[in-house]
Amino acid sequence: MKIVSAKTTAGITDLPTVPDGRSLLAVGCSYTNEHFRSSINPEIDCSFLKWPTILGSQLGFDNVVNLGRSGNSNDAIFKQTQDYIIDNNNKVDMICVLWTTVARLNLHDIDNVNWNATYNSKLRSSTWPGSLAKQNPKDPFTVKTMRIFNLEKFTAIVENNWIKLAHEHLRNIFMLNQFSRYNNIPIYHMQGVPAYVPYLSTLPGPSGPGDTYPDWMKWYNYKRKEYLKALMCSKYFNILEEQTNIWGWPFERELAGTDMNSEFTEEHIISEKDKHPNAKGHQLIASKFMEIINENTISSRL
Amino acid sequence: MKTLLAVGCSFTNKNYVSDEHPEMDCSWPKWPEIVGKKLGYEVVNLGTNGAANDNIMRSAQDYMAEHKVDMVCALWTEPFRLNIHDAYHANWYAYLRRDARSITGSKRYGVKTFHLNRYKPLVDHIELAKRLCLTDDHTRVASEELRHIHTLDVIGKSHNVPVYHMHGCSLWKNHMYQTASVVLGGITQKEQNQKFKMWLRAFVRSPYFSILDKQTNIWGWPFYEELGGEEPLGNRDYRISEIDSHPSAKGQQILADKYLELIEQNETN
Repeated sequence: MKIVSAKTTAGITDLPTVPDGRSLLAVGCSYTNEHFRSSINPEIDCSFLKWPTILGSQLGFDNVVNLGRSGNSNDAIFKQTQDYIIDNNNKVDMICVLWTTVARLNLHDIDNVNWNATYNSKLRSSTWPGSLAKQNPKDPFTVKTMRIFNLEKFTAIVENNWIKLAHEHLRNIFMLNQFSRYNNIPIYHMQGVPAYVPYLSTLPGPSGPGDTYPDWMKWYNYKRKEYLKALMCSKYFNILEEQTNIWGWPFERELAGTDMNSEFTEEHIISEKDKHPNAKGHQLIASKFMEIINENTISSRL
Repeated sequence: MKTLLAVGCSFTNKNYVSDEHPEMDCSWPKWPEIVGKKLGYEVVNLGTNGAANDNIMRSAQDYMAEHKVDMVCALWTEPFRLNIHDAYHANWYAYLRRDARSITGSKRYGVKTFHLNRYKPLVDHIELAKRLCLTDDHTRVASEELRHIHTLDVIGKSHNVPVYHMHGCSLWKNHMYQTASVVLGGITQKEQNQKFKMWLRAFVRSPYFSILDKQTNIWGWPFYEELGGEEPLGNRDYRISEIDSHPSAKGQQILADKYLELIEQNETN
């Protein structure tokens, strides 16, 4: 089986040619990235098999095209997939998507802004008490992003409109689904990193940053409920609800859904600090994709 | 009654008011209403000031997820606008032009003030312009617009609804590099020309170009004069004034005429 993957900085046009044969296209963020390296635990060897390779092998594909990129946004996941299909007409036989957090923005296809991480990093460096206050964000990605955005304004805008993120997420899933149907390619979806991240609740609220807000839990629960309501009110919710190709739908535990991150135990993650999947974690992701693919294949035969 | 869904930016907005000429009555019929009247269609006009192409495509998707329409007409806008999570339209290039105007004092960098008055800058336009214009990253934007057009086509086909396209607002042209050079410095005329050629090459090499090139539902394709394309509002008479380049009543009529021409051609075929 041939594995073709995108390096972290490479666009899809830089991909090597895919040989003839049946191909599985896998897309996602760092949970999918074939070249993932742990920045928190650089001493750990992360060259274990990733879920697209495991799944591709189990399904007997000749090729696995892995477009997973660290920091990818959902918008970029949708658009990368679309670009690849258009560029490689009739060469993709199945698409598996591991969606990421809603708090990332695709910037003209040149960057993906992880604005929560960026905002929190800035918050730590500027206003948090104690030793953290003296730290500057060191992550080069964060530093680069901070130069392009006015973060206070950006956060203020998103904070007032953040429940729109729920609708945006579902629309991306719907649109990729629509696109793959149009091209007659089966597609399967799963949520890797939680769509709603607790960081969303650390955004400045009416009484200041969530972390320092006296009733932090109350604030968090309020924000989470708002998000869940927005998710269910989205016009795409009912459409996706009827589909059988989404594992863990509707991704949130309060709505009887789940994401991969919630399925992981200690044995599935790299370390206590780095929650990315390890070798076992990737096997678990592949097994869940396998589950949904089998279910759909059996029901289509019936 | 059949429904026409019209999507676009301020060029499409039914309730457009000129910031540059607040005294002017701009309540003349806009192209969607003219086209709808001519065809006998009810019109849903989602044109919004400052909308990015991403917003334009997604507004059609959102509407069509819930409502039945019989035809979609899209008037695409400037490619240098960012959709921030459906919550904000960041027109970063308008700020770059404002800077260029304050440096040179030249009216050629005149800005659409409605983008600037309402919000303070969100995107650091200088940093973004550095990323786009001082490196080769600008070529990535070339495919963005074509992808939006194709995506809207797929949406239309998925709903079995004809879609017609035209480009309204400014395209990405040489002026991008010229403006960036004034503000950032260091881009010679020769380099500006080379960069624009590089842009055009990326536009033509986009995987979407060859698909759209075969279609008959795009007026003025491939938009760029250099590639044999056309923009509908080339004549100054079609604009409100020298400082407000939005379509005048005549301009809106021209846009409607072009759409009707395109629709007729396709329906005849």
